Amino acid sequence: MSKKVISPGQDIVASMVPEFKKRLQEIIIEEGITELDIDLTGVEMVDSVGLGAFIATHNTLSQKNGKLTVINASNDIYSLFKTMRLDQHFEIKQV
Amino acid sequence: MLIDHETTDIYIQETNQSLAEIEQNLILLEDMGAQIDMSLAKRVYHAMHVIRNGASLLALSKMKELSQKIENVLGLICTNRLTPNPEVINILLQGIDHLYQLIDRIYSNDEMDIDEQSVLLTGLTSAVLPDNIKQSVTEVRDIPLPDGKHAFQIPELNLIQVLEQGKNIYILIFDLIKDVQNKNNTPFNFVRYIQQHGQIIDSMFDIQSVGTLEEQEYGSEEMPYFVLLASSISDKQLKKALDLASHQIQQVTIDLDDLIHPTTKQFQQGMTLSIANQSRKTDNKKRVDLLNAFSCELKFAMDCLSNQSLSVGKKRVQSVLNSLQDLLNQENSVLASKILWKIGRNIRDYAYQSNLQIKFYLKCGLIKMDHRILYRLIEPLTNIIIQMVRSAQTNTTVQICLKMTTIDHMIHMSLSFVDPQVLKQETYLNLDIAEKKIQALSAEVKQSFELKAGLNIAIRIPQKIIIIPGYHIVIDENHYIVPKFNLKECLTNLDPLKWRKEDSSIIFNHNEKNIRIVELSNKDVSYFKNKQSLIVCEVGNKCFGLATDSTDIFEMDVVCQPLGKQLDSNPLIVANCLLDDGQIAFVLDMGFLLKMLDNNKHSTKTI
Repeated sequence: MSKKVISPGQDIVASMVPEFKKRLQEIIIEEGITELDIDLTGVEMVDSVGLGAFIATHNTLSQKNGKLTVINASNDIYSLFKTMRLDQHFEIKQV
Repeated sequence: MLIDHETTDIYIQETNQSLAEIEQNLILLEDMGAQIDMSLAKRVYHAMHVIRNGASLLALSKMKELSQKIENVLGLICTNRLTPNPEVINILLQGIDHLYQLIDRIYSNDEMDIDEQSVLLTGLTSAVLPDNIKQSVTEVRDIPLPDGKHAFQIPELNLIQVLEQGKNIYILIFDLIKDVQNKNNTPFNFVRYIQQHGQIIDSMFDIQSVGTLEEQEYGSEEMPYFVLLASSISDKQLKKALDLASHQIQQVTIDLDDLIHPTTKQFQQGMTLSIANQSRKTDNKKRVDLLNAFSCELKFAMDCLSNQSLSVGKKRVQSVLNSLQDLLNQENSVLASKILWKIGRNIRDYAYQSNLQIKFYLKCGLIKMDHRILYRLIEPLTNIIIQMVRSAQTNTTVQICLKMTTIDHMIHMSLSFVDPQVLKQETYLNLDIAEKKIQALSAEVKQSFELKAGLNIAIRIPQKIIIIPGYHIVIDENHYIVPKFNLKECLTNLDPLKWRKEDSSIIFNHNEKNIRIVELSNKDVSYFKNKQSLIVCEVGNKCFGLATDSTDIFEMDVVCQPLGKQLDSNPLIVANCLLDDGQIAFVLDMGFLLKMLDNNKHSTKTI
């Protein structure tokens, strides 16, 4: 099991998601990371495309018996993930 | 952020008020036992329902979870399926206490464990239900989605409660890309908007359809999202409100008889946050208007004073001061019963824990008092009543009455046994601690015993009291109060090298700024190097420092008492007050301290 933390440091929205997903693919597929923490420090907003990136990352890691954890989520993002029941698929930790 | 601080503040204020009412009403329900006043039980249920809805809207997950569980139990009381006996009420009251704590921590993000309380409430719900309904607490019902692949799994009790409130249940089908992203909406606003039209019972993504990172690279993105919504509005209204196509909404038909027999009707909607918001804004506007009127009056007073019409000017100033005092009194004045009922709760808890039978009667009439005084009376009065209970020599219920009256601008409180014969002989209680706390409120406590009337504890409090919010500090073993509005900053861990004497003034250098220090007595620099903290005070636009021995300063509302003849001539202080532990503290005259510093007079006055 290899672990890594990735910190996007900016809002996870449609304009940055293609680059972000590429980076995630590199980490999971090329570097072979199976335990990934996405650190949301400095992230204030996640749009629908961004949510899709989280779910796709979770699905990719699940195929490899890996695990996604979202850390340092702001209050709004944490409550959004909870309301949408995403916490039933991967772990979400508040700031 | 969609939910602003103002809305959250209103929710906090409204919830605290509702919780206090619920708490009082639960104690009343406990007294009624099996003879439940249904309208009262429904009021309590409804109040909790409003709290839960607000928590849901503000996404306060623990608040929502706990209030939902309390609501479940209250629902059972409302439908005569559960008797509010002391054990049941105790668990509910503990739940209310936890809700108070959660409300207190809304802004601090402080994690609080509510698991134990949740288990107790769930256990209560399931344990007391008849066997045919008991299952509904733990029984989970599948509600299949139109795609035929997934299903919501919902505890049956939740469904029962939603249906009993006369709500409809809908499955809403969305694609987050098409219905949210392409409409330039954010998921956060989208979810909040749905919540404004009903209660989200559950929701789920079809995460398999979203695919993996690789699959998304080659295929078009879709994000199916399903919501199970309980709403009192019709499907047509909901379609219109949420801009849904026909295939996006499906009403769930569940036969309530299949779950249990319905016995309650739909409750009226409570005060919404938006209405509360509006009334708050109106209140603020009234205050601003009043302050504008005061400022005009002061302007006229200034004109009079500059025209040498001294007596007219003084009258105008005095009228503004009186009006301001009245306004402050009005702001702080509340019905005593609104706060002192908490004593009843404390006594109830003591009786429950000690397995004693106690009845407490509160007779306040319509007497109003400053709420800060009332809050500080709760603890000492509770202690006195507990001591009275302990002194009673009876195997039956101990009944104690607290009666309030007003005579000549004084509030008289009288604590006595309903049956004076519970004390067989002349008895006096040791009220030392409680007495000090009451005396700190400028009040008197007297005990008397008469054969016929029994023990009586009389408390006299002036109706008009001057209360100053301030900070308690200690200098050379003397206690002082620095008025809150004069305190700018408190510096601790002081560097001894930053003290110096300059032109016979003591200076402390902080962040490259020199702070002039007030000397309450003539001391050398070495004296200040031993001080624990430095209070930076502000008078007008001028600052100065007070070196103190306090390691930790704390805020308190002190009740000012006029100075005696001996102290009256000391210009450093304007009033004195008693602290809860019986010590005397002096309220510093900050204006005089600044004047002393400006005149560079090294006063040797000591208190």
